[in-house]
Amino acid sequence: MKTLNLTCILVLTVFYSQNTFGQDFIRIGAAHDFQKNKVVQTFSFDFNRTEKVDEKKGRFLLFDKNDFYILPTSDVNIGDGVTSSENNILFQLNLGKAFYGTKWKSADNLTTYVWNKAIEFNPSYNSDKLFSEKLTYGQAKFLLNFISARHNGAVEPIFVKTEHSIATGLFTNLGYRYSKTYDTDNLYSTFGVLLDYKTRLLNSKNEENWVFKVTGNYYYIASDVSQLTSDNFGGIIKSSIDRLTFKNTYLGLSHKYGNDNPNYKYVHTLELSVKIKY
Amino acid sequence: MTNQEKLQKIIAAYTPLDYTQIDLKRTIKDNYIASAFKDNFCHDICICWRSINSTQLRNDMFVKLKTGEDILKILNYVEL
Repeated sequence: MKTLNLTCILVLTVFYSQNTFGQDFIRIGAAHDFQKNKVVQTFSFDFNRTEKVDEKKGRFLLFDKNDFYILPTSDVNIGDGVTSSENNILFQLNLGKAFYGTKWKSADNLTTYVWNKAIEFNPSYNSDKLFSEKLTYGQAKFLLNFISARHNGAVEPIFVKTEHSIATGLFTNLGYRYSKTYDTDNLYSTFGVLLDYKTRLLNSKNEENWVFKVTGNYYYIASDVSQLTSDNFGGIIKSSIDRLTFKNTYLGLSHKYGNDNPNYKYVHTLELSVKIKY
Repeated sequence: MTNQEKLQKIIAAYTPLDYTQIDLKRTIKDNYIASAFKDNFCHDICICWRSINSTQLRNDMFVKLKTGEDILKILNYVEL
């Protein structure tokens, strides 16, 4: 097989506006698709003009009382770039109960640790952008989240220097698949594990110098429309590194490998990109 | 104990500092408390002040509510 060389030329024109809200960003990049052996241009943006949405945590709670919560989430990818993306349209309503652990400190008192747990039941809808594969299911999830953060020192002005968060859990999906492609339907049932890891290295201005992320899942397909996949297992792993290069501008490298619903379409890409937060 | 002292103690638990050193005028996020601890921090506040609107608090935390003083305003109002 021919050696794959990735050469990316990044052209960037951004109209810079005054800092209004920290979470908005534009990301422009080039990705190599190993499945098709070609370079594709990627472009994504994220605007949040509603003050209450904390994009960083990606959450806007509808309800929270005594650690019971209702959290609507959505993930919508529409456009040309969807071949290198797995979920095209996903809506979930997370109904959960969180159990917050007791904090403890390192011997030098600079690091704080905690274990959190959560159980969730999530009614979900997942389809591709043409609505040819539709999944309607309930998801039960158990999550374990370990968080640690280290300060620069014990004398003011202090700031968080490193933060690690690793979440892992078990999930099971049970529902119904309608496949327009094969004009058939079936019981949809999977169970598996998930992983969500993030490390941030920050400077004294609270800017993220480095951000490392790995997210993924791996699951057993107990029942689905048999024409869609001959695999017994499905899963995807996504990893990324972002480096602050100059003010609000990040250089990023990300890798995706695996398949995911609704189509079980294999994805294998390596992307180099520039992200501007403003 | 005043609301101010209670809040300082909650914040200080995430830092190497003594609670008296917590400056409520300073930005909390990523100075005193790492953003990943947001939910734990909100949980601590809700345990201490039971009548606070927890949904609103979590949605506003670190967005509208950036400093200790921002949070203190709500706490003082809740206790009226």
